[in-house]
Amino acid sequence: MQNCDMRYEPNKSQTSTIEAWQDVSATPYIQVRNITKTYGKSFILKNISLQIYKGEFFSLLGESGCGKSTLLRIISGLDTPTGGEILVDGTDIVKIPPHKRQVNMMFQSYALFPHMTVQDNIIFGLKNDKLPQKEIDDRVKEMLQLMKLNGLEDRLPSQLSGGQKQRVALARSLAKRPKLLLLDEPLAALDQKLRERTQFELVNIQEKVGITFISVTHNQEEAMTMSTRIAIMCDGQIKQIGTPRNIYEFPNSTYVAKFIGDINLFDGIVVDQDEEHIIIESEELDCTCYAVNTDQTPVGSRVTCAIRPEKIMLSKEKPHYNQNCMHGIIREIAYLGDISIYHISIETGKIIKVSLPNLLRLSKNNIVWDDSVYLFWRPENSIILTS
Amino acid sequence: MQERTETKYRIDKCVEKILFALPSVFSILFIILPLSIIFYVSLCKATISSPPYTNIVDITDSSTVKITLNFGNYKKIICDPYYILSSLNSIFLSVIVTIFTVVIGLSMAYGLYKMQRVRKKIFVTLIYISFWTSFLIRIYAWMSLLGKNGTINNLLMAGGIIKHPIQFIGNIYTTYFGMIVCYLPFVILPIHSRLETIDKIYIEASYDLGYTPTKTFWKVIIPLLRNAIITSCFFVFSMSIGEFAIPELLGDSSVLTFGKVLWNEFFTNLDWPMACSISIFVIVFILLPVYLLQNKMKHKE
Repeated sequence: MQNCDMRYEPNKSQTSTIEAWQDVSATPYIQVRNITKTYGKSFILKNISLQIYKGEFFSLLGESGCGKSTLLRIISGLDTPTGGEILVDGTDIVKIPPHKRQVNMMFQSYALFPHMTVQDNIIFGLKNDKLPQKEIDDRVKEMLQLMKLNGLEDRLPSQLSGGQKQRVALARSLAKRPKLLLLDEPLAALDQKLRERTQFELVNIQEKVGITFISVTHNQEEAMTMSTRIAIMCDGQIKQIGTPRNIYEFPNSTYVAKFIGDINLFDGIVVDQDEEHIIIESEELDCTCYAVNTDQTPVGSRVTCAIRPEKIMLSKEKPHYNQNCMHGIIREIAYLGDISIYHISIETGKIIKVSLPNLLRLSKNNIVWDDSVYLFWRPENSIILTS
Repeated sequence: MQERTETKYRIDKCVEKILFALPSVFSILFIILPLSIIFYVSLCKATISSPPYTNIVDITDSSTVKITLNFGNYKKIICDPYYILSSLNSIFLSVIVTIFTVVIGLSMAYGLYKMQRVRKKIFVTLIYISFWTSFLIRIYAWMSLLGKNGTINNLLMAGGIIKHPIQFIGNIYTTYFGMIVCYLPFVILPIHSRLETIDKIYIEASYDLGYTPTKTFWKVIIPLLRNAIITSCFFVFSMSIGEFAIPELLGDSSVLTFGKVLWNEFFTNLDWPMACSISIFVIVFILLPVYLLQNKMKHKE
């Protein structure tokens, strides 16, 4: 039913090749160093440092007001930081005015000039670069082709659908062949179905043009699908940087764990340890919780134990092993089509969320309301958080 | 209960109809009717009587109705050098005033747009205040400022810059000056209110795409203001084409313009039909084409 052979491998990537951010010798293409932004006495950004490598699709993910858009605007030059520096390809760009930076932005509302046709909008940025006419024509043609905008050249933005506007905005900012493209909530204005399709399109386009993308979003699904790496931001600080997989499976704090995906959290104390495991006791849990021993949490330390809903297994009979096993009663079932989410109350009164895939089409689910079930999970799947 | 709501609905419908009818009633009563009367009088002949024009329809006896239409006045306006000169003068004056007013007004509106919030409020209020004062009062104020014993001459003399007072009034440049100053609010306010609705994101997008602030002004802001600029051009042009008071009071009143000629015909020569013909000529052959042109030039939004 579930992949039980998951090993605890935080340092190994899902692919065997070494990615740029794991290569110690690689120099980052974009280096954000100690960027700080204050308005009066309040901090918008506190000492932000980031290293982004060439060809990455990097996402800044956070709730609204966390400073992610401000950071993007500072990189684009539309805002000035209070302190810090930003190196793009080795040169500090903080003092360079926005119109001289080889950085382009795709705005959330697209900002297509309403008085210009699609073609004029795309040409706009090229005209100023004093390129030969042929080069301009070629690039426009290339962009129209890439964005599938052929036939729409002479339309005004008001005559376009949301998806078309988004593609024109992307074409306009990519036509300049910037060193870095910034995307401010690139898909926020699209409806659900179109957004899902566009996510993959955007990744394909990025791979084709090979330009480094930094995207800002509050939508975690969007960030997970498109990004090579994600930075989780909160209150003007970066909480964690990592691949989508790393952030989901190995969050470094309760904030990140709660922010990405669904999770069950229990506060407890480490009471015992052996070579392989640490044992945690929690008032909220009906059993002792086993987790992998990483030598980070000695006996007596206060920790939070987190388990993803899909990592918990359910069974009506008592399973054969006794680590991380509890008894509970089904309170709610939410049928979502592909999966079902079960709310199970355990004997301490705590509600635990468990999700299971609906594997068989015709089978009537054998777990129903008020059933008494056993829930259990492997020690590798307990996430131990100390902050 | 249901009957009551139905009656209420009917009353609402009635009120709505009346409200919708108001503009048409207004335009018939105060625009179309007076214009028709003016047009009617323009086709009469001047005589010494009260009112000083002949009737078009003359019932001589019970069987004959005599209709006399006089197009002579219109012919005069097109052919007589006196009237041609006044047309050319008026158009020239209006074009110059329009260009200067719009250019100055546009830069002032942009200056306002760039100001900080508190300052902007103060300046917009100041412009509104000058807008509220009757323009005649403003002209009299300028007269007392620019007159021979006016404040400006006195200050200049007290400062030792000039020995004899300068003759400001009665000069064609003062005509231009007075008209530009009077019409500026008609340019600043519409352009400023349009500027305020322009999303700053277009300006940022332009910077981002490599345009300097100056280039952004010409390539993004001016095109976005196009309609507002065309409208204010039309405003200023249509006001200055018939202007009478400013040249008469502040400037050179000897320059023949439509306003001056019309005044002469009406009050000096008592030739009402001629005066009416000039009005109709200005409305139909100058303002109407300009109006249609400005509509055509505008972007459809």
